[in-house]
Amino acid sequence: MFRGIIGGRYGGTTDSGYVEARILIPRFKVQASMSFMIDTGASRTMLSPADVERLNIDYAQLTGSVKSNGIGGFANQKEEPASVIFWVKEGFYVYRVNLCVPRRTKASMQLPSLLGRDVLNRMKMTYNGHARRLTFQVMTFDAFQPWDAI
Amino acid sequence: MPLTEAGRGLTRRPIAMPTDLKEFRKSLTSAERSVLRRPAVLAKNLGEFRQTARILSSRRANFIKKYPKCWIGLYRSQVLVSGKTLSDVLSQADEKGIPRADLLVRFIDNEDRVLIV
Repeated sequence: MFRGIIGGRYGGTTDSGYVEARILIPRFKVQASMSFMIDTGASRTMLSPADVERLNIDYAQLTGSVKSNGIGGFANQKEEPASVIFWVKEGFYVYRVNLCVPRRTKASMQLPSLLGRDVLNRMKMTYNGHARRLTFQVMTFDAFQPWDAI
Repeated sequence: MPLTEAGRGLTRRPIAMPTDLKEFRKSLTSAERSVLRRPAVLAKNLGEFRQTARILSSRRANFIKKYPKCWIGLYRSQVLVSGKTLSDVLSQADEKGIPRADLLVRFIDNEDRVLIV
């Protein structure tokens, strides 16, 4: 039966919504668990500078470039193709994204990685802050690996 | 294909419920297949990481007392490394053989701040 329900959580530090996923960056042969802050205001999924350092990714090796506009003004960011993999009861859902990677600054180092609308617009999100319940129902995806086919 | 309001490179995708989920397995890339080759390991790692993240949320007050203005690294629901800089924390994690891929790192700020991203 198709359900595709992904469970999120509310973070203790900022009280924002978070969800955990596995990220795969093929060019750097990197795969890692990530805690993404939910950001419907972000058009793209972003890898935080702290996570870039954790995963030992050399910023200089990132080749793509994208201009972004946020509360801090305009900035040029790097971008990198990646897959975001969510684990649910029936298997693994895969989303392909172009990750934005901002330049490392003192302020940006403390930001979490963000899950943006490139993924969120393909899900139905239930954000119940009052009851502290956060769930995502998969509507579309790029690939799927069911448990029973493994 | 029409572009979204978000701008270049993003395309609207039709909402379509798949009828046969197994069909979607064919669209996995070779890199994705290699990650998903050991699904039990992947699920275990993600499950532990999720649990660790929940610990981070639920024990915030304790962490503020114990690690004010420090970076901490959590692995399997425990704080195993801490330091004044992220580089310190990552070096300690490497020395202890903790895999960075499953290490959750956060800066513990003891001041209330408004986050607008």
